[in-house]
Amino acid sequence: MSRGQLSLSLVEAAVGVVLVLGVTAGFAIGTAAPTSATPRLDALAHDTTTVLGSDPVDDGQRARLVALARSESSFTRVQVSARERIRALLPADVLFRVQTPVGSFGAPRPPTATVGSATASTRYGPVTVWVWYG
Amino acid sequence: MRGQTNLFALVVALLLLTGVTVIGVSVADAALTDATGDPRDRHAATAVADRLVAADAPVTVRANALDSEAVDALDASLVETLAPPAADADFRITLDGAPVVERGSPDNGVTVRRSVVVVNRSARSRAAVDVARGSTVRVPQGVGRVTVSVDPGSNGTITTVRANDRVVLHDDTGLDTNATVHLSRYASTSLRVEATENATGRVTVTYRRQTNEPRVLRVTVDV
Repeated sequence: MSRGQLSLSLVEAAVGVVLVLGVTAGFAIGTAAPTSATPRLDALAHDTTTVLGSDPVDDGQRARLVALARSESSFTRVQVSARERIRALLPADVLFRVQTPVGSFGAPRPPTATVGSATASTRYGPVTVWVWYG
Repeated sequence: MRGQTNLFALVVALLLLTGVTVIGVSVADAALTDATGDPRDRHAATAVADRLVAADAPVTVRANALDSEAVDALDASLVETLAPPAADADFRITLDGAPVVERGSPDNGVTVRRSVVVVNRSARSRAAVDVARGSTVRVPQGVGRVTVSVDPGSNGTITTVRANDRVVLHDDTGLDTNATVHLSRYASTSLRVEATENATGRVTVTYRRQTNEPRVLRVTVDV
């Protein structure tokens, strides 16, 4: 009769362990979310658009951000200096990608990494900056 | 005999359950400490960084552009006034690694990084407009503000000052003023003076050129 049967106390204990572990998992997973890096990366992306938006191009009459979005020729002309400027602005371990209506440049966006973004509106269309930890 | 086996199983079950409960409570405790301690540091650091780069902060000339002179004058009490969450906290503010303000040792705190430019203003440049010849003064790109001082001579009156054909100062009865004029930072500007015939007054234009250096602002706060 008793052979082959698990002790009832052990079965109860196993159920208890599962319950307690379930609650613990709630703590472990539930509090992991707020430490995510997205707000910090968003702040860096926002800083980048703000500085580009108030930076005059060396020879032109408009901000770098606007020159990037204006036309393809203007984009090609400003792209190199903008790239250097962003690289100097961002911390060394942060990579970026910029997208304008007429083209985009920067590192390819990783499919899985946490990415912060900021979009600035210009009269030629929106310019989006993505940043992530490289 | 059967009762003893059950007793043994009961002891094992109790030990197992107690062990798991202890682990569970310690994980919960760690999560609680994390959730109450770290976010306060993070909140304070974010607040200090946000207020330092805001467009209307006393240390900036516009959003994300720090004035190098104001940054040199920055001290702990001003940081506290700007961002009350940092009151009574240890904090350190650096620009590209160079310390700006430091109080206590916030090594266990949270660091927030922001991208800024530091605006350096050069010494004043001064240029005079020859009113009699009707010459112009060219203000280089990047200057957003000039001081125009108009000293009407004994002869004639100076009526108008134009910046790239835009009227910035005008008085039909004659200008005699010391005014600040706002220009576009994105292009160079020509300042031109209109005067009556044979005017001999003096118009002086004073401005400071600016250079922008990109920097990484790091704010570490340990509440």
